[in-house]
Formats: sequence, structure tokens, C-alpha cells
Amino acid sequence: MVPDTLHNRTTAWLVGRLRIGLAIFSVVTIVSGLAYYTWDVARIQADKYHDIAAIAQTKVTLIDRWRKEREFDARRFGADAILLNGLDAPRPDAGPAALEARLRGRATLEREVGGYADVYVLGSAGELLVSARAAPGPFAPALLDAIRVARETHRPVLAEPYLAANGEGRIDAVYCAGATSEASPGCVVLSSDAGEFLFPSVQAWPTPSPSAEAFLVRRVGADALFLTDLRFQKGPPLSIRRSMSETRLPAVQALNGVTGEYVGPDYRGRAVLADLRAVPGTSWCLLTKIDADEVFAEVRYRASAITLGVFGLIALGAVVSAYFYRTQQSAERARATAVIVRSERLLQDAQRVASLGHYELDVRTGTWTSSQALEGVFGIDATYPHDVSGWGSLLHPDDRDDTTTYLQNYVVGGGHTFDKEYRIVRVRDGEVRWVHGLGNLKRDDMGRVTHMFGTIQDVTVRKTLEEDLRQRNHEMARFVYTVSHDLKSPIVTIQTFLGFLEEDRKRNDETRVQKDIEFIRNAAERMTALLADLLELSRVGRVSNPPEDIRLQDLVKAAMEMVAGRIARRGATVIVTEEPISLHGDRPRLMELFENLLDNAVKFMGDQPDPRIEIGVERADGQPVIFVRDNGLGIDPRHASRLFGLFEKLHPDTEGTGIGLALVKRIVEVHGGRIWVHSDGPGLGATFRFTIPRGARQTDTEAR
Amino acid sequence: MTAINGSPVTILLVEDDPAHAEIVRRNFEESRIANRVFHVEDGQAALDYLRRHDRYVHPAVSPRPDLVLLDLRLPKVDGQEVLRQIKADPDLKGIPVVVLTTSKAEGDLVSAYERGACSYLVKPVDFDKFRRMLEAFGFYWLLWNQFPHDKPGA
Repeated sequence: MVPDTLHNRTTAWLVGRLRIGLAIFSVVTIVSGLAYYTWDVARIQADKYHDIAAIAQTKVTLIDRWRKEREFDARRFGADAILLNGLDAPRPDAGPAALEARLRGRATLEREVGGYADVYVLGSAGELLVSARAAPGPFAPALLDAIRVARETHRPVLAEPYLAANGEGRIDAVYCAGATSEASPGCVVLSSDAGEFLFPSVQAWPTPSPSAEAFLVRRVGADALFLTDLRFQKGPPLSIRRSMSETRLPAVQALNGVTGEYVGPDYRGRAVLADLRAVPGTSWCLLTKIDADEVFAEVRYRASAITLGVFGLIALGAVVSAYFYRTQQSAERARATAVIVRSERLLQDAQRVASLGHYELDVRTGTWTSSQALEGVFGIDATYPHDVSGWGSLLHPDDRDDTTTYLQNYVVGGGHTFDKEYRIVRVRDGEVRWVHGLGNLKRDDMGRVTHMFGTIQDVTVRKTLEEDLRQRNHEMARFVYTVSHDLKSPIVTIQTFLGFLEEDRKRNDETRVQKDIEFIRNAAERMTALLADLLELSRVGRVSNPPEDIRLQDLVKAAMEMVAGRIARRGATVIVTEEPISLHGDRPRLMELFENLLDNAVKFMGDQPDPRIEIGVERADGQPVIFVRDNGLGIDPRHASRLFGLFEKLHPDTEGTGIGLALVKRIVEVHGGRIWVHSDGPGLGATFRFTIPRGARQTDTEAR
Repeated sequence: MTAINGSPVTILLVEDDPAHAEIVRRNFEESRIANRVFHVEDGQAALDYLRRHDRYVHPAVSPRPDLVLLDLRLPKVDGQEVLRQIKADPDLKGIPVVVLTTSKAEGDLVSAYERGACSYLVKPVDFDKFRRMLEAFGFYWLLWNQFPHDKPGA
């Protein structure tokens, strides 16, 4: 559970970081894109305007040259015509026809050479003398204005464009000669068809463009007059007018003196990029423009490209983030999995080493789950019923009722912690094992017990050692008790009889004195014997010789030599089995063992006429059991339990301190064996049986 | 000397050590208190005596004692067990039992009183103390203490 939480926390952290990173990246990308777009728009607009201005400048130059050519032609021809007129015919209407023909010829020539629509020669009163073509109608006001100015200034004057009767747009150049003669000089008029060269030149565009347009305007009264015809508004030239009050119109703005770049609606109301400038030497303004749509078509294309780029980058960022996230995630998950797997393995190993497993019991359903180690402790596998009755079946019959009651009443019923040692019968091998169960209760929100979680540990080894220790402590206490009591007894005797001795000596009671001394001597001898025996007993605990294999027959033979006197005195027969068997242990101690058993048997023969002692081997559970059987006094079963006790004597009048069988028991136990006695009753003999296990530990009793 | 009521007090001394039995006997003689001391050497013999088994079957050989003076460490059946059996026996439980032992062990004391011992005496190592203790014991039990007249089974 813990690594999961950790994993989730790391993930949340990572996701947060990636989101923030992606957001920052997106904002930066979008802002950069916008900045680039803005910059690009400005650049393109500047470029385009530069182009437009260059075109406009070319047109203005062209118009200027064209004007100057007209004026030059007018001056040159005027001078010529006026000379003719002045010399030869001060009154052309009264002059000879030859002069008129020459003037007309000259005008016609001028018209043809200069490519003019018509050429007029005027008299000094401004009357028409000749025209190169058929007689024109009345002069347009624009021409009359120009003639008036020309007569006053004697300089070439270009008339404002006007619409001729034949529908042509005309621009006339007028020159009136100065005072070269007294006679009032006449004037010449070179009339050009604006639609033939000037207007097309103005309207022409150097590159193909769907919206580019250039036109000329001039102010006429309260109106702005469009000199040229318009690309997007039908109508002959010099016929379209807009009010000067439409101050937003670029044409009006230009006529009001605004020059340079203009961005805004044009006469159609459409957004345009335009150049406004005045045409020098005229009252005209030139407007050169392209629709903003066309100008910014490229920008729009760029914008799309930039937008696409921006979102492409953001998408790429997202993809990279996602990829990074997934890589991190899987790395994180792999790391977490590795941690879990490792800790799981450590837990299992630790549990196996400790013979300890854990479980969780669902109190409501009565089922439990267990760790592998716990199944090992119970000796079960996954198929074993994991429920309360399955657990109950594991319990040792002697502990079953007690332990199940403990669980149900004390733990679950009473809300206590489970803490109990009990025995189980391990399923795998049927062995009885001690286990220590611990368990804490878990409750739901309502405080009801739902689960118990805890551990179960195999504590058989500890239990066995504890039991062993308890027994040894008990033995030790008994030993100290016995020794202190039995050693105190003779001292009491000695002290008391010394007192009696003193009194009896004063009375000179020689018989009593002798008796007192006898009691004192006996007590002292008894103490000497007890101390010697105790020393012997303590020696047994320290196995001083390395264990070896000794034939039973050799041991019995050696032991019999030690007690040969007593055996012979009692006339007892000793029979030893011939079965080859050897005992593994400390040779001198094992000899002592047989010596004491033989001694004991002889001592308690009673008045058996045919004393026999038989030594042999039986088998019990495949283990050799040595027996020493006699046909002597036997043992009252009521007293058999005290037989092996220290300084215990069933017969107070027999010799010895009562250490013999205690010593025997000690020797057997030091060799890891067990000794017990059986008798059918008084007079029926006794059989001592014992085991000396091969390879049993022999040093663990050293402290005793 | 006789007791105040005129009849000598009968004591069953259960003591495996002949020297200690001799000490008790001599001290009683010294204090000249009328008594009859019957001595057995092990726990089994004590029980047999009281129940008149085997060689104790005749009341003349084994008169019912007024008091049992019991050592604890005994062959065959130990003193605590003898005490238990006396107090568990409806015929015998009326007999006061005084423990006389070398053991000062707390366990022995508690156990003896729990099993119904009247008194618990520890054999002193000092000759004079031993004498004075037995003297006081004699006066108390043999002179001042009242026993029932009708001795069931006597």
C-alpha cells in the first residue's frame, strides 16, 4: 500500500510539473507567434507601401514630363504661329486666304507631328483664327480660363481637363505670345486627348494585380472630381464626383493636403493601402492604392503558417511531455515494483527465518488469509480451508477448547488483543508444535470488530528450552533444599550430643558418654560420606572425557570388577546379553552407571535364594533400550517416584547415603538419555531401563 | 510424673535419624514430663501405625497417639504426604500434628500449615536452644494442652 501512495504522489507531482511546463511553453510559443506575426504584418505593409510609393513617383514624373512637353510644344508653336500671324495678317479674318491656309497648314502639321487631338490658333481678341480640324464648338470654360491666364502671363498654361463634345477628355495647353509686336498677339491651343496617353499611363500598373489602381482627382467647387475613369466604378472620365465633405475619403484627404501612406476605406468603402501625393505644377492629386486584402493576402498566409507552426510546436510539446511522462511513469512503476518485490521477498525471508507468519482474519466471514511463512508454520498449503474451523482443526486437542474460547469470548467478544501461546498439530508431519499468536483487532466506523491482523510464530524451540530450564530450576531448588537439610541434620546431631556429652561427663556416666561419642562419630562420618557423594555428583555434570563407542559387554565386565566382592558375598548370578551393542559416551561415567545399578540390585536382593541380575537390550521405536533386571525385593509402586531422588532411601537401615540412583539418573541425563524403573510390586524384582542416544548433546548440562 | 489429668500423653515420633530420635527422647526424660513416645522411622511406617496396618495391627503395640511429632524428610513417604493423609483421614484428622524438622524453607512452612499442622518447630543447631525448645514444647503440650478424653479408636 505504501509504495502505491508514494507512486501516486510522485505521479501527481510529475503531472503538475508537466502541465505547468506545457502551459509556459504554449504561452511563450503563442506570444512569439503573435510578435512575429505583428512584425511580419508591419514589414509587409512597409514593403508594399514602398512599392506603391515608387509606382506613384514614377507616374508623377511621367505626368510632369507629359505636362512639360505640352507646354514646350505650345510655346514653340505659339511663337511660330504668332510670328506669322503678327507679320502677315494682324487681322486674320481680313487677311489673305493664303496666310490663313499657311496657318492652317502649320496647325495641321503641328497636330500631326505632336499627336494632338486638335490645334487652334486664336486672334488677339481671343477669336478663333484657324483650327487644324473642323471648326470646334464653343470653347469649354476650362479652356477659356486657361486662355485668360495665358494672355495675362504670356507663359504656357495647361488647362484643366474637360469633357469635349465628342466625349473625349481634353487637356489643352495654351500660349499667348508676349509683346514681340505692337499688335495684340494671338494665342495657340494644343488640345490633347487625355484618354489617349495620359490617363492610360496613370492607370497602368507594372505588375498584374487584381486590385491595384491609380487615379487623379482635383477639386471643383465643393466636389472632388475624378479625372480618370475608375477601375471599380463604371463611368466615363471626368464624370465622377464626390463631395469634399466626405473627409474620410482618401481623395478628399489628398485634396486637403494630406500626403503619404494611407490605410483605410476607399471610395468603395473597402480597406486599402494607398499613397497620396500632389502632382507638381497642377492642381491634381494622384492616388495609388491596392486593396488591403491583396496586400495582406501574404500576411494571412503567413499568419496561417505561423498559427500552424505555433500549434504544431504546442502539440509537439504535449507529445514530448506525454512521452516523458509515460517514460517516467513506467520507470517509476518499474522502480516501485522493484521496491515492492524486494521488500516482499525480504519480508518472506525474514518470516521464514523467524518461523513467523502473518494473517488477517475477517471476523465477519470467519475466513483468513496467510503469508507463505505462516502456511509453513502450520504445514499447510493453499488448499487447506482458511477459515476459523480450519484453524480450530490445527489446534492440539488439549488446547482446542481453551484457545477457541479465548478467541471468541476474550478477544473478539471482549475486544482484547490476541496474545497466547498454544499447541498445534502441524499438518505436514503431524508434529506437535508450540506457537505464539498475536493479533490486533480492527474496527469499522461504527466501532464493530471487522478484522484481526497479527502474527503467529513457531516457538517450539523456546518452549522446549523454557520447559527444560523450568525443570532444571526445580531440580536445582530441590537439590539445594536436600543438601542443606541433609547436611544440617548431622550438625544438629553433633552439636546436641556434644551438649549431652558434657553433661554425661559431669555425671561420670561412662555408658552414656560412650553412646554420645558414637552418635557424634556416626554423624561426622555421615557428613563425610554426603560431601564425598556430592563431589561425585558434581563431577558427573562435567563430562571430562571425549565420548567414544564402548561395547556394552566391556562396560558390564569392568563394572562387575568394582562390585565383585558384594556380588560374590550375596552369591548373585549376572547374565549379560551377547547381542553386539555399543554405547556412545564417557567411558568412566558409563562404568559408574553400571556399577551403581549392579550395586543397587545386589543391595536390595532381600532373602532371594537364587539372586539373578540380567543385563540386556530391548528395542523401542527403533531405539536401543538397555535394561538391568533383578529378582530382588522389588519396589512398592507408591514409592517409585522418589527412587531417583538425591539422598533418598527407601530403606533407612541400608548402608549408603542414598546417592546411588541419583547418580545413575544424572549420568543418563548427562548423556541425553532417560531412565525409568518398573516393578510388579514388593518381592517381585525390579527392572531399570535407560537410553543413551547416539550423538546426543553432552555439553549442555555442564552448568548443572 | 503425670499430666494434670493423670494419664500420660502418648506421642508418635516420626523421625528417620536415630540420633535425632534419641535427642527428643532424652530431652523428654530430662524435663520429667510423663509421656509415652512411640518411634517410627519412615512415613509409610507412620501411616501404617496410625491405620493399624501390618505389624501395628494390635492397639497395645500401636496406641492411638495424642500428638504426632513429624519430621518432614522421611524415607518412602515424606512428611508432607504423611501430614496430608492424616488430615484427609476422618479417623485421624483430629490428632494434632507438630512438625519438627531441620528445614526452614518457606515452602515447607506454608505447605505444612496449609495441610493442617498445628505447629512448626525447627531443630536448633545449638544444644541449649534445642533443649529449651523441647522443654517448652513438653510443658505446653503435655502439661497445659487439653486433649479430648474419648479417644476414638484408642
